[in-house]
Amino acid sequence: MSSTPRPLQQQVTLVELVDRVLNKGVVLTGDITLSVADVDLVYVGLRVLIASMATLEAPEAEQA
Amino acid sequence: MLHLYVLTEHPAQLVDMTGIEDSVLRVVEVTPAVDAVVGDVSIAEGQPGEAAILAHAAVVEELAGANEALLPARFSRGYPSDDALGEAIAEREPRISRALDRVRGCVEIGLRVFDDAPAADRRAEGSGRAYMQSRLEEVRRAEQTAAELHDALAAAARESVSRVLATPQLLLSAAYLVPRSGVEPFQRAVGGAERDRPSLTFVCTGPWPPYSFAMIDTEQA
Repeated sequence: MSSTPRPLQQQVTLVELVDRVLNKGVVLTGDITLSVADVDLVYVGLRVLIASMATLEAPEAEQA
Repeated sequence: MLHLYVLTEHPAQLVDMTGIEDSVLRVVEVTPAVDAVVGDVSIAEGQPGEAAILAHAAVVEELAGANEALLPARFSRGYPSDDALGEAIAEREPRISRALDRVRGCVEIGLRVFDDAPAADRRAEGSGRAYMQSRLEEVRRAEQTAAELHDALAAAARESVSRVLATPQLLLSAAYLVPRSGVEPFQRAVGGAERDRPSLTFVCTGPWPPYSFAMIDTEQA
């Protein structure tokens, strides 16, 4: 993992990506014993950051 | 171990990339209609790391660009052999074929809608009963808002899935199956909904391969 904090959009994309790869998609056997990240709880942690997204005019500018 | 990335309609189109642990991608032709794209990986211990998850997602993404009817596979422990994988797929072929038909030519758009000042967080004055009543009303209003938002967007999609109030802040979590040609108008519709509701925060992501519409065990149609 990178030590510098990811821009918010990248964090959101990563959360969405991990949710899909670990929690969604076709399952062929009952044997899914991987524990999965609780994405909704992760979003609770991101909420404060996400609330500030509403005020971002140019998100691209954040990703220097 | 075989790691499964996707199921596709036969014949699968491979892409010029490697997968997890730089493994080569190959096709397993399971039935006349269904192919699997797999890679040979070492046996996984415990949780997959970030590199493996990102590699899986990257392979699925590229394959989805090259194959019209494709079901992303969930990251799983893997299969001991081509035969073991083949059996698991053959058993489920009717459901797999139906799912392939449903997602053909489509991508997934994800949406999360947040209420930054959720009612459930506010403390009400007054008696316990009045508090419960006002909370119930606020939950009902939130559910109604979520339903209005979702129903309008679902009408513009081939299929959709949704969850309301997974947390007090997370008003709506949804995924919409949209033909590729319909992505731009759909995103404009989301933008319009966002402008109509300035107190809510919209997080719209995608297009994704149709992960949320590949879950044949919880088949909706």
